[in-house]
Amino acid sequence: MEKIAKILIIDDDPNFVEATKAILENKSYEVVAAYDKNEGMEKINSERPDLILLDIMMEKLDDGFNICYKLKHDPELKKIPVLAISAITEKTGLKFSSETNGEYFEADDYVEKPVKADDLLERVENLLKK
Amino acid sequence: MFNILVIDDEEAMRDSCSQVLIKEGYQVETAGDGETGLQKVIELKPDLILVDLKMPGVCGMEVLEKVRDIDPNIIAVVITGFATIDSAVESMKQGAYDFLPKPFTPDELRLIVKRGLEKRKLTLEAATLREEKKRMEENFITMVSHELRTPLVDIQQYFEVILGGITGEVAIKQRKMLERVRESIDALLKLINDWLDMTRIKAGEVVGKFEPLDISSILTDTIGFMRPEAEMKKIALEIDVTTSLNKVKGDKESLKMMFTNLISNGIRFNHEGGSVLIKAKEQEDHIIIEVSDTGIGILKENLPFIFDEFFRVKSDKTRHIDGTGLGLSIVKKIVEVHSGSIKVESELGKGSTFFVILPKFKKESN
Repeated sequence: MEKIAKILIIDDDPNFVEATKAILENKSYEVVAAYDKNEGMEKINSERPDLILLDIMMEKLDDGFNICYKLKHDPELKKIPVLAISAITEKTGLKFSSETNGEYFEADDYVEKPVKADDLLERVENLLKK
Repeated sequence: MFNILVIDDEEAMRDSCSQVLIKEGYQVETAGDGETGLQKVIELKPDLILVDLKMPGVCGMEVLEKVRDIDPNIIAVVITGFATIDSAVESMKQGAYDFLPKPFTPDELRLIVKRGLEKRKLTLEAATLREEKKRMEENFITMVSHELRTPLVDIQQYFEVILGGITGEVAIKQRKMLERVRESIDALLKLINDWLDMTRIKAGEVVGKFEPLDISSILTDTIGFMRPEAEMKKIALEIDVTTSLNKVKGDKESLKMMFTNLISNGIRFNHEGGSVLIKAKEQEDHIIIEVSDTGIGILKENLPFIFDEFFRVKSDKTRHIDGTGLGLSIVKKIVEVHSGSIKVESELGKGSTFFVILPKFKKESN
């Protein structure tokens, strides 16, 4: 039996977290959640998840970008795949990234909210295989 | 640290001013005539300049006038040996901040420079605040659309769970109704997206991203993207585009959005087994892109309104076609920001053809 993958959801919207958690837990993933930027960084360190679902626009427009930027510039944490999820369009998202810190958003994959259950599960599976 | 430039033809004046001001901790540069002075203004971008009114060559008044064009926020203090009310008034008119008649004491110089720099600081702070406010206003569109979308996204995400059977079986009748609700929410989300696109185009955001583009590759990409939808509706997508078309100056994403909207209309307002043909050719100074369909066509009376926001043709043929009524208004706005025009020919029951006319990109015009 394979080890159960642990997924961390970082999103300030508790409804979205609850619904997404249900979809992932139904496929027997272990799911933990963080509801803001600081809690997100804490749980990344304490929980050491196998995958992170990251909301881009939380309290501030670019909270998600900042988390992702930190992760991908950390020699240890950059191995954790990041699936970025946001209610804003990809175009706007990228634009914000380049304007705020001059760096492109470096998530491993990207989906727009709302996410179809099958689509989400497929992307999660692909990222965990890597 | 503040930068000060002293422009005076008298060496003694330049030296004494420099000495006093360097002691105050300012960075001081000097210029012996108006022309050198202006050059240094451009190179050094000083916070404050001291300008002698009477100099050979480019005179003080001319320096003031040109400095105002370079940067109106540079504080200019005028120095002169023949202090008259007239010359003082005239230099203030040219944007001077204050006036220092010769001879003056080091204290007078220190005070006037200190006050001038205080004003400079305030001006710069105000400019920063204005910039920040502008940025907030630009982000406002994104914030509002995020706030509008969030509750709808939550609903959709819960539907994924409930209709996915994760929380237990859903009875057939309930499922049918919930699916209807899901469709309505989808339509509302689409409306918000379209509105957001529209607002962005109106705000002129796309113009900043203009570059020379190859229309045929944009069309090929867009058609590739639309193919699944066409196949689902059993509509044939045909393309007839010369590959060596002259480039067009524009924003790639918004042009793709425009063609997506036109082709999507061609597919949705069509009959099963129909087709959509996309053509592009050069004609004099323009590139003409045609999107024609074999669909339901548009009644002549309705043609003048089809580009209006939220206008939708209401008939038994269109009742079951979903849409936001913004698609063609977005198309028109995008064409307009690209300095192009759009025309339509249509016959009810036979189909419609949209002609997008865009100016060719010319190197020398850039």
